[in-house]
Amino acid sequence: MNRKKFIGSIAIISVGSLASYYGFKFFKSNGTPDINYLEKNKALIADLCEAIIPKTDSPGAKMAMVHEYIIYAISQSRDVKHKNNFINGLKDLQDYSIGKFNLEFSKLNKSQQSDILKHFQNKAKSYNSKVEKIQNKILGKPFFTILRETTTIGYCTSVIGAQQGLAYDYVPTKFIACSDYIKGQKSWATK
Amino acid sequence: MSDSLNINLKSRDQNTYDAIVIGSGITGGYAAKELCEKGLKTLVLERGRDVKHGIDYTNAMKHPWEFENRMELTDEDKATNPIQSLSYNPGSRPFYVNDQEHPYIQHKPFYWIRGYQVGGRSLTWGRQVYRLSDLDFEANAKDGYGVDWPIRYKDLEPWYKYAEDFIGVSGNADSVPHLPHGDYLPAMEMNCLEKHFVESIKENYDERWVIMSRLANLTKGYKGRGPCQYRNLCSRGCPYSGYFSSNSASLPAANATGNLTLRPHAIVQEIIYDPNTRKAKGVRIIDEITKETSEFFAKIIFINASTIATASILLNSKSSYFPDGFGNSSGQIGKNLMDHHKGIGATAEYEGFKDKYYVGRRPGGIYIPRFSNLTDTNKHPDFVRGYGFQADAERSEWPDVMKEDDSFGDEYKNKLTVPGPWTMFMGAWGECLPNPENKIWLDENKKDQWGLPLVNIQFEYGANEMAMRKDAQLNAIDMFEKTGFKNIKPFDYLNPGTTIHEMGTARMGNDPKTSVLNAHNQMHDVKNVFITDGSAMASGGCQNPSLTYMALTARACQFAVDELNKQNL
Repeated sequence: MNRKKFIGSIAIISVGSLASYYGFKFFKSNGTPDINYLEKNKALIADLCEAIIPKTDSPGAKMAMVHEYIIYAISQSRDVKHKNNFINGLKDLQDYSIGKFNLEFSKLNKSQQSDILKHFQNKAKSYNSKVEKIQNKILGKPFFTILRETTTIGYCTSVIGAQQGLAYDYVPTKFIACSDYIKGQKSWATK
Repeated sequence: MSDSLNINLKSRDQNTYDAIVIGSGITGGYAAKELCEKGLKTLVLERGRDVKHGIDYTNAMKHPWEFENRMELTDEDKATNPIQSLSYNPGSRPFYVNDQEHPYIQHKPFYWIRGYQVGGRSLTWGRQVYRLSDLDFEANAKDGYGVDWPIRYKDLEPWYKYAEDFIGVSGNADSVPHLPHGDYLPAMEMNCLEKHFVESIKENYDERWVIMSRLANLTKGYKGRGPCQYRNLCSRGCPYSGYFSSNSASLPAANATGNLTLRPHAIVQEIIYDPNTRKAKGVRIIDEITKETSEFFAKIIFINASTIATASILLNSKSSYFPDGFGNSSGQIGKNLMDHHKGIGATAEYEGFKDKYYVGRRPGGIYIPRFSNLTDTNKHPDFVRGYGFQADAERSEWPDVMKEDDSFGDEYKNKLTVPGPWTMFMGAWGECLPNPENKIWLDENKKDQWGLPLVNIQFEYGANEMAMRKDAQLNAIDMFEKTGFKNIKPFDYLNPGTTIHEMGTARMGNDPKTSVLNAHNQMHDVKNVFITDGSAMASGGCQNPSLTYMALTARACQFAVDELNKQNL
């Protein structure tokens, strides 16, 4: 087998295995989503949000009721593949947590929770940027990405997140083009 | 006399005005103001619903958390409205049409963004107002694309001033020879990084300017409007009248004369031609809701429906006298569709000014006027004409942080909640050549729910635009490199139509054989019909065009009324 043929056969194999992998994922992403799972696992979602944006000197995601937004966003505003990716991701995460620590996610300490999230962070990262784009288009964004984005949007546009986590200026009335930045000053909640 | 004839005569009398204006957007509203102020009883026909200034800006004062899905569009909305959703956000959503209700046929991708309501797209426009100059008005004559403009800058100069005086424009008296300025309200200020950029460009380049954008946002109270409150939520409608729109400025001025009649839900089906007088005698409309037709009559008609809609009304107004469409003896109606190309440039980061920030949200950025092909001796080998850059600098904030990595926990929260590095965006808005192959026409079979033929759009950028884009991207990168920026990221996405500067489908020109309108925006074929929206443009320049439309409108209104008074119409 010469080099060209060799490379060609690798290409065919990878296209083939990629296609069957996508076929499976596609099926998983397009079934009827188990929406009830969200409301039943509100506490889990709240703990996940809090792990993404924790309470520090300002309130965390849980206090900002970000889980309520996430349940709304996933059930009302995301398409079927994102609904499934998120809900299946929650189930996988709970399984993984029990498998690894013999405890549900909510019962873990902060560092154990962080280990679990890192696993799903790596899963989301596991495709190089080019494949990721195709993957995102066909299959929707992976679980960790959806969790992180909805938590961030939910927090930064909430009453508590915008007003206490960030600096919210409803009607600025003036524009100061160059102001001094004072250390510790929060960034603006809206652009 | 029979009863029915009596009723007909009475209805004809009730439906007769001095002038009819079709459309209430940025030029229709302005034509209404001019004509009403000159004493003409004026009927404005708007195909969509009424939007009362202040009252109908339902999202204007909402906090982010008051939107059900926050500031995100739902996947279903994006799938149902794949075209309009490229332009709207949950706040401006009420001022865009529904793609399902208003279909059209694309032969190549062309995103036709529309706002069918009183005020049209003047509610959601970008508010940048630049004059053209003779560099633009002479372009067609010099390089041979399109037909020569029948006017030059000196013809329009007083009308630019006139329109700017009414609008209220903030800006500086910059000395850029080919971007003439007016007497403006104080300009908004540049931030630290933008000021650094200006100085650094001066040190590194000859004949390259960086100016504050000229904005139809009021930095001072003006004619009972404004000032701007620096919320940067203009596209929801401004309860403070901080920016110019038909709703905030021109329609109230028209209404104050007592001469205005505004008829929403009036979809114009056709212009009615009177072969005896060889003039238009009126307009037939379909009520958007009841779908009943009725007729309105006037001495003069201004068509300001927006470029593609104006052409389609004319093409739908067929008679034995105008078998190819109203006033279309030239065959040019619907042709030469243009839209500035954009979506090319770069973003970059700057390491300094960590101790500086800003207060308030400025509703506009900075502008780098055209610098290519300014003289006959300094020509670019690959393309004619040119492009300007719109740019702005800001500090990275949570929406940027969310996208840039995948961290979580305390470290992530800290990055989200304190300002990150300064970043700058620089994107080109480039001229699009008039090309008869870029055109719209009416479908012979498919119709909308009002029985009107669907519009076909065939549009594609040519070699000149593509060469210009290449140059624009190189220049964006070069400017960032020379002025000390890091992490320079070029971008290139091309979605024709999304600049929302459609122009050219009923162009002005000296020769009735090759153009639709004369030097006064009067139809060559039908003297009492005037067209002053984007369709009149013989070429597009690279500047945001609405100010030019308004100047043309004011000038054409003066001409029309003079001609009426001289009994020429």
